[in-house]
Amino acid sequence: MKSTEDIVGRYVRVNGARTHYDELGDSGTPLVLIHTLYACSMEWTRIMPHLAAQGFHCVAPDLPGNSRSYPPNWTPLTSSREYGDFLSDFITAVFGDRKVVVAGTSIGGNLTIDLAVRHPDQLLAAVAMEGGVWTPTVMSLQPFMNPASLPSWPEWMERCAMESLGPNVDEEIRQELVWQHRFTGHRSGMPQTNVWTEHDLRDVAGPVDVPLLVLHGEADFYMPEEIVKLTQRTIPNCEVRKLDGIGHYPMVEDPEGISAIITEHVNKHVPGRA
Amino acid sequence: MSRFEDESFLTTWIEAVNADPAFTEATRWFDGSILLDDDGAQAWLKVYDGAVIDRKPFMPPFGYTFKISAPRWAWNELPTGTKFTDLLLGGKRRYSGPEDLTGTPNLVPGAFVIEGDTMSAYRIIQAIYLMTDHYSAAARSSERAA
Repeated sequence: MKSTEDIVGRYVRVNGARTHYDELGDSGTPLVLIHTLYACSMEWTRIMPHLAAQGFHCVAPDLPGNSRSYPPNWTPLTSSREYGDFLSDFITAVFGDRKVVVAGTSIGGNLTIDLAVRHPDQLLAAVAMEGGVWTPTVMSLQPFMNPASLPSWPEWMERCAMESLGPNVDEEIRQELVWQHRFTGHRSGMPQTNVWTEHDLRDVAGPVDVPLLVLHGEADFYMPEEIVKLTQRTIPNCEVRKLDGIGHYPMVEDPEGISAIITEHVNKHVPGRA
Repeated sequence: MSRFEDESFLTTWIEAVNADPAFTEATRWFDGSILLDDDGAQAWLKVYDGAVIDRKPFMPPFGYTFKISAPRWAWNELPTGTKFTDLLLGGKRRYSGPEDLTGTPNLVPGAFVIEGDTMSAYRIIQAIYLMTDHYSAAARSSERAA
């Protein structure tokens, strides 16, 4: 089995912007992994070896403006639609016309659903964790977009991440999560809070042409049960599964278990995988 | 009764806060006061040079730098393990029921509210979190002892 030390960093141009991604495996089913807000590709480090062992070619980008990826035109993106279109172009840049599996968490979960709704032709299957069709679940941080308006935002963001973990997470994993939120600046990370609160697919979502699995950590206070039910009502052919004891970061909290769930979902729906 | 009216609790809590080197570091260059409010019961804390150096059970005439208030149920949630982030940012508490999801989102704010000089408050947000951590621990300790 490959290890976390086999992961390599690569760059690709997407819409003119130098975009970084972590990669593990060079063959198998293409799998694009989308991180949470204010974070980076390293959130997928622990799960990638498990997924690669199940025959996935894992690619985890840093979203534009995060960590080692520049934003197109030096302007951070400000909506799910913009990020979704960027990811569609990223998939084409890395995999050409090949269809991919996509999995994401938090805004990555929202973007996974966005891709399933608006770019289904590029997808084999999708797994959205801690995301939904509409997520206005935290107060607006609109007044704080300029770094000068919110000193110590990084410390606040670290607490926002740490406190949303499930109850049984090892200290080393908790510390990794803290550091995974230290590579993105305020000007990209803060607008992503608005991408979360203003994400709204209610008017465009419906039954999707992609096998979509929605995972919901029971300990995640950012994702109320009502949002999960709304997502299921809006996309009636999606499958929903609750994750016992898991918080806002399933792939960090239980990499082996989440890898098994992704694998089971893809094997069930993608021809040639079973 | 509010814990802010319990002298024994306040002593235990503030001693724990002042013994925490992370609190000292976070407030090393803060010179201000914090008014805490629990359904009208208050604790005013003067913070300077990395420590709480004075406290009063009311706001002095010259006011406060910033105020943190919440209904008693929210203060009581902290020792049960509910996270301060959950109570501050709103989260699932913005929804009282499925009807809130049918139109404009329910804009009920978080249970904890920070008012006054919020720039100064957010500058020491780490210290605020540490104070809530120690509040929870002191409350649990006090309940075990009772």
